[in-house]
Amino acid sequence: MARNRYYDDESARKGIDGHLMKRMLSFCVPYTKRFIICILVVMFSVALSLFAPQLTRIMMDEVYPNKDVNGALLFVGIICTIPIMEKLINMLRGVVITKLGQTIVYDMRKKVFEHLQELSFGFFDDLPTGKILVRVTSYVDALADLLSNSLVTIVADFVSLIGVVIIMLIMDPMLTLISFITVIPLMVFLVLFRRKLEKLRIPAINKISNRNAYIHENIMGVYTVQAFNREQKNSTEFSSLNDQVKKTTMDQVKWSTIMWPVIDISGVLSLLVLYVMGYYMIANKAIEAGALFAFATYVSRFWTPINSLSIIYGQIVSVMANAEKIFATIDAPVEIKDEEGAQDMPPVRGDVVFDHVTFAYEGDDYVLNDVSFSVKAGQTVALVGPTGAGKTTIVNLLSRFYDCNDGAIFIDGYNIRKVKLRSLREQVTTMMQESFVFSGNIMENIRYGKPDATDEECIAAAKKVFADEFIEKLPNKYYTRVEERGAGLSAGEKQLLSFARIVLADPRIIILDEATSAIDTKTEMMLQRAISSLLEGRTSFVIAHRLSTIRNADCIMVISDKGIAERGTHRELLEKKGIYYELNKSQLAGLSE
Amino acid sequence: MKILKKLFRYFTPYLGEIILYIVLGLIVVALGMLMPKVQELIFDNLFTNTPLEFAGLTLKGTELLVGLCIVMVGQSIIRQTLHYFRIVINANTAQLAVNSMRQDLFDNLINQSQRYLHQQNTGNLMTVINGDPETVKNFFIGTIPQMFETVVGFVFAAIMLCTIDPLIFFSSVIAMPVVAFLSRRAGKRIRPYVLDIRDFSADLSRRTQENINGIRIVKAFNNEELEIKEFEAHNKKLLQARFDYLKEYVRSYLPMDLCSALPYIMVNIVGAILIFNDKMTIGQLVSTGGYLGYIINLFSQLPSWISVSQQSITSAGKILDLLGRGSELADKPDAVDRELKGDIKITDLSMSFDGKCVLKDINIDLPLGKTLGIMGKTGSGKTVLVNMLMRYYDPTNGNITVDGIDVRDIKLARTRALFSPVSQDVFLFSETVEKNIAFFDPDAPEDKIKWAAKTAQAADFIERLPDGYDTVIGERGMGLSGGQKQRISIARAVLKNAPVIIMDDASSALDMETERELTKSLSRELSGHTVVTIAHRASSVKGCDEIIYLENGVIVERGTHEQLLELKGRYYEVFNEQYGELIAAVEGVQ
Repeated sequence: MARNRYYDDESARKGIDGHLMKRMLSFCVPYTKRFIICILVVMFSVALSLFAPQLTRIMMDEVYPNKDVNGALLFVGIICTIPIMEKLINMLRGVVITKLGQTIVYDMRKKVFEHLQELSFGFFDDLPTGKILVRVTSYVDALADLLSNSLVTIVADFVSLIGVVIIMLIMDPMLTLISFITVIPLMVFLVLFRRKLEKLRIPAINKISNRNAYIHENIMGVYTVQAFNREQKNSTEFSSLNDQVKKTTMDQVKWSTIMWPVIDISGVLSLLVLYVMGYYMIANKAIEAGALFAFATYVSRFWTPINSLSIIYGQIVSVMANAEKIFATIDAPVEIKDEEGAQDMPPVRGDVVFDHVTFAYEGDDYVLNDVSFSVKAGQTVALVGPTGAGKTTIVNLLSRFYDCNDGAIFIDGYNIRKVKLRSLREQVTTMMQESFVFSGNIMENIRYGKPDATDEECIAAAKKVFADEFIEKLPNKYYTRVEERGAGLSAGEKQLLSFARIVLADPRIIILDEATSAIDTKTEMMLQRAISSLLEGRTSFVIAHRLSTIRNADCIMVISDKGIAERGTHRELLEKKGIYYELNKSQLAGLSE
Repeated sequence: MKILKKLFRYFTPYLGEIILYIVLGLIVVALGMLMPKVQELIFDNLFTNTPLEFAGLTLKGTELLVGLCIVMVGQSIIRQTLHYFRIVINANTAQLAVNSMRQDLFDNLINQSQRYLHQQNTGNLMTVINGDPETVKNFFIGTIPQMFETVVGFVFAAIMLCTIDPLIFFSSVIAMPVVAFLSRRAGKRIRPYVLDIRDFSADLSRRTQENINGIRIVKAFNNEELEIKEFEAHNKKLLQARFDYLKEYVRSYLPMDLCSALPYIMVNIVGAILIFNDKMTIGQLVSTGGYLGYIINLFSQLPSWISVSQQSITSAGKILDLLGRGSELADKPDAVDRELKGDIKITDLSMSFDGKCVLKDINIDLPLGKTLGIMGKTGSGKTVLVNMLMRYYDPTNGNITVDGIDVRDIKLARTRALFSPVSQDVFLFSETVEKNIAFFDPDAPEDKIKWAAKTAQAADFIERLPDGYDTVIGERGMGLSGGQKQRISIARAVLKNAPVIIMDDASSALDMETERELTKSLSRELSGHTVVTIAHRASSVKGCDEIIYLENGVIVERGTHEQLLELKGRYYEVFNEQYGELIAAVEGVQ
């Protein structure tokens, strides 16, 4: 999948896809029993409604002409109970079906979300957040009605259709065939029309998804938008995305609603044929008025399900695109997963070996090419080198955020691809370049490092990394609410929070990927002293650009485009007078400029 | 309802269309009255061979048959054609109205102050822009015309029924007062449940949005299961809210629903009595059935109107919350609107958020061309200070002037035009590298984009990307290292080429070599510009005309690099911490 821009339409298949239908139905299977009950209830109400015209016929042909008072009491009595029964049944049906639909939505959403959690970064890298979001939220909602109400309606409609035809055939086969003559041209129309409709239905949802992505990006990037005076331009852009939604939606409406008048007119035409025939038949005394009226009622009843089936058909075509996106998400391959027979990695000491590791994010654009090194347990390793040389990549490979294309990585001799992912990431934890705050309070944000930690543990962790100082100054201290959008925390404070998280998580191997870039040097120094006790006996990888951050490392590795160019301690590397030395010297030169 | 009235203005531009829609609706409803009448005539005149007197004509037999057929088919074709146009007009108006509402929400949002935006979460904002207008639209474009037509249909049908026999009409509406009472009550009862559903689904969407944005942290801490559990809780809460709503719905609406069966029952009973007394014909009974449909419609539509109107009142509230929030930075009517030179002066500036003082007594003189370095502890107010320069916030006390004018008297766009900022958090758009750099001016010529990239030391790596400048980078700037993303955002600022460059910790992810090159090329290409640099590395600010050191929102040290070293204060400490040993070591090796 190519990386998607907010205005790039996601791919979409055309028409109704049998396979997708099956997948959707598979979510209904656990509820088969309830569906059957629903269908039975609905069939009962269909039977009632099919029965009612017979009563009217008897009233019109026998009771009224004969002024049969007893008959009238009996039949009016029966007729009166029918609508009440219908109301009760419909309410019952409504409740059961709505619950069913919502439960299915719940299941489906759960499935999509759970799968999202397993997907590797590649998936998230390629698709704007706004487009992923709608797949979990509104797309799933859109399927609710189809998978509950419509499903039952389809069955009920078919039953009703067949029932009507049977009753009509019993009443008068000739009249039945004649009144259905208009079905033939309608069928021809629908078949031709179908092609056009299925071609059209797809884009609207894509345009909505694009708009959604754009809204999301603008909220996330609103600072940048304002800084570059882009409000006007983005407003125009948004307006054009809106117009695209409108245009595609209108295309859909214009075409899909043509079906309804055509069906309705066909219905009236068949009534017309019936009455013309009826006129001559009544003149010849071949039929009575009541029977004809009942017949006319059945003809209308015949067209009602056809109408509703056509609506459901439109519904299916339009949610097909939703279903496709949902299943594309569920089916997205999990690239990083436990291999078969993977074992838990036991608690490790922390020997790390990179063995001829080669890696590219895309194609053969290699970021790492045949990189080998080993780190002894307990060492602090600093990775330095120009941006883009692959420092972050190295540590991302270590916690298996990506798998290397070639070569292997070992921790204590365990190939990390052969152990359970969970047991690996429990022991290797990265503090990322970007710090992320979840909406909730400070305490909850720290606790994210260890979900079962007590308040005391969280506070202790915060104290250890000197986050305590600023937290105590917040209005509600540890219980101050923060929003995901930042809410008054500076970048450095957010990094301190992330730091507390990792202290709490207490992994065997710690990776600090520019974890202190936004923290001032003084705090950082204190932090280093504090965490040096934490790092004691643990392997750690530190990526930083401030030399003061890295010079105390046990081992410094200089990463260049060609892999590991130099390694050694600060002093050794200076004495070697190689790249690291030059780096330092140029820094000094910079200072004296 | 008052709340909804406030949003009515989005529909007034389309009043013409709405009126057309309603008029067509009236025609459709009126024509609909013909069908039962035709059926009545078929049974009473055609089948019994009774001549029909109509407009001075006497129709009988085949003539009558042909006449009725023409009316029947004619009304159907006209009705359905008009109906089709109504649907199209309606959908079109709906799209236009909802789009203009969304547009206003969007515009309002991107013009909001950071003070407001920081307290929001993205998921909720998205629900307000996306979901809520849809609900309000459904009410104005769907429910209101439908109500109108149903009522008109009701009136027409009532007249027709009265022409048959007033008794029939009155018996059909006997349950009306009860239903009216019940529906009022139902609306009030259902309200809290509707509110819950709306809020819980916004919650779910917020939760999901955070999960997607924070997926790296989720995975780093192995917290997938925790996330699933939390999502589950929200998912379940929403499901439960929907179930609760359903329960209340049944409780409130079942009595109404049963009442709506009454017209049918009453008409059947009264009809039978009338027929027995020869006051009604069979044909009239047939047409009564047809008209009754319009009467019952009013009864049975009521519940859905109530729940849609409750939903839209809820959503309208959320929309108005955002729309009603004028930006606190809105331009004054007589605000200065001319190009500014860029001599900035900060006088006695203080700033607090929620009573918490973040900056205090800041005085800085920043004439065009000056370079200013800002250092200080984490949370000491560095970013707030530069954000105030760019007027993301207005000061609590003191003022900022540009060219001697208070910024509050200058058009915001004019002030912002002065700055080329690079912020700490790099935000990139899901776009090509080129479009990201040319964010300020999408039509910038290629050589200008390349110049900006080169100045930001980004040209080399961009050219090595698979599609060079046309490489699409995701929202997260994937495949790019932190330093590369920073350089793209620097290039973006360079392209804007405003008089004042703000570098808020903008080179933290750059190695020192690159940073040095960057500093050089910036001062070469952008000479004469004011540069404000926030940094933690002393090397980044060393060459500045003035360096200030912030602590708890107060400037504790200021001066040039040399002056500050001499002062032997905090700056000196930091410098030594960072470079003291290095100097000694390198010199030692030499």
